[in-house]
Parts: sequence; structure tokens; C-alpha cells
Amino acid sequence: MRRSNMVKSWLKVLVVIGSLLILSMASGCALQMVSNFDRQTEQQIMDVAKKVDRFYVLLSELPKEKRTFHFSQSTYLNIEVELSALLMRQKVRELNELTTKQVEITQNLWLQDKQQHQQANSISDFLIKTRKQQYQRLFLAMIRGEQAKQQ
Amino acid sequence: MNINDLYKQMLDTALNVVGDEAQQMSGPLQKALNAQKTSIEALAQAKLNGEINEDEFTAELEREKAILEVELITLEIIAKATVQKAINAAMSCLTSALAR
Repeated sequence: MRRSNMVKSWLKVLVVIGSLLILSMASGCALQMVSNFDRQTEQQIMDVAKKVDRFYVLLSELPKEKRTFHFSQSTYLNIEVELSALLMRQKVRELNELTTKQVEITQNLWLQDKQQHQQANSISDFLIKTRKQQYQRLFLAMIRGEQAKQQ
Repeated sequence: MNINDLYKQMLDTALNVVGDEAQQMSGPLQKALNAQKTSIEALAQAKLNGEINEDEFTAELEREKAILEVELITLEIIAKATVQKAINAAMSCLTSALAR
């Protein structure tokens, strides 16, 4: 039973590879499954990551009562605009649905955080530390994804 | 519930699903799950300390799910890029051989 499943799995893999080879030969060009590496996207992600990190470091150095939404509003707006520009660039690239999805999720989280800060009109030490780490994970994941596209 | 056991179980389940590519994906997947494990432990501690309430804890768990999704998308990109490189290398080899 197990052996027959293994044979079936191998057959599936062979059929997929065979189809891809035939398609590739027929089209006479290289197979493309993901977008090409884009240095500008990589740089844009690094730039916005640095700004987000700076924002949370700055907030952490302020006393709690000064961490108002009014104080942070312009930074939220600037980063929101940068994320929108990053998203726009991803949307115009072919075969780039996966990176686009990553930027969309990050942008949604940023908008949620803006709304949360606006409602509470402050932000705790715990949330600053958590957000800083979470955005590092998000941007690192996006950078690793982009770098994987390098030939 | 032992959080270490839970994450080991999560990793094993995820690796079973990805099947043949498990070896190649296990490193990055383990890193992503470890990062999430650290975050979940910090959240559980913050809830115990009263830094966040039940609703905030639930909202934070939802965020963690979204962050893990972004990290897993990276694995999908890596897998696709790897297959693309392998197929193109094989095709290039075949084309060279046929041209001789």
C-alpha cells in the first residue's frame, strides 16, 4: 500500500516535470514561475523597515504620557504612503502575487496599529517591543523572498 | 499544555504536508515557527502579568497568524524559485547537448 503510494507520488512528480520540460521546449524560452529579482523593491523594503524600527525606538524613549497619537500621526502617514508605493510596485510586476500578498498583509497590520494607537492615544512598552519584533520578522521575510528570486 | 511539544507537533504536521520538499523547507520553517513561539510565549506572559487583557490577547494571536502567513509565503517563493532554477538548468543542459 505504502509502496504503491510512493510510486504514485513519483509518477506525479515525473508527469509535472515532463509537462514543464515540454512546455519549456515548446516555448523556446526559460521557465518563469516567480518574478525576476528587483533591486529597487529590496531597497524599498529595507528603507521602510528602517523607518518603522526608528519609529518604535523613538516611541520607547518617550515617557508614556507623551506617546500620543498626535505625536505619531505624521510618521504613521509617511510609512503608510511608503507601504502603498511598495504595494503599487509589486502589483505591476508579473508573476508577483506572492510578494504582493506579503506587502498587503503588512500594510493592513500597519493600518490596524495606527487605528489602535489612535483609539488608546498611547502605546505600552510591551506593545512597542512586540511591534518592533513583529515588523522585523515581516520585513525580513519579504527581503528573503525577494532575494530568493536572484538567478 | 507544553508549548515546546505543541510547536514540535506543529512542525511535524507542517513537514508532513509539504512531503518530498520537507528536507529543503525544514530549516526556514523551523526558524519561522521558533520566532512565533517566542512571540506567543511573550504574549502569554504579558497576559499573566496583566499587561494585556483577554481581548487584546486574542487580537494579538490573530496578528501572529498573519505574520506567520507572510513568513510561509517566503518559503513558497523560495520553493518556486528553486524549481525554476532546477528546470532551467536541466533545460539548458538538454539544449546544449542537442546543439552538439
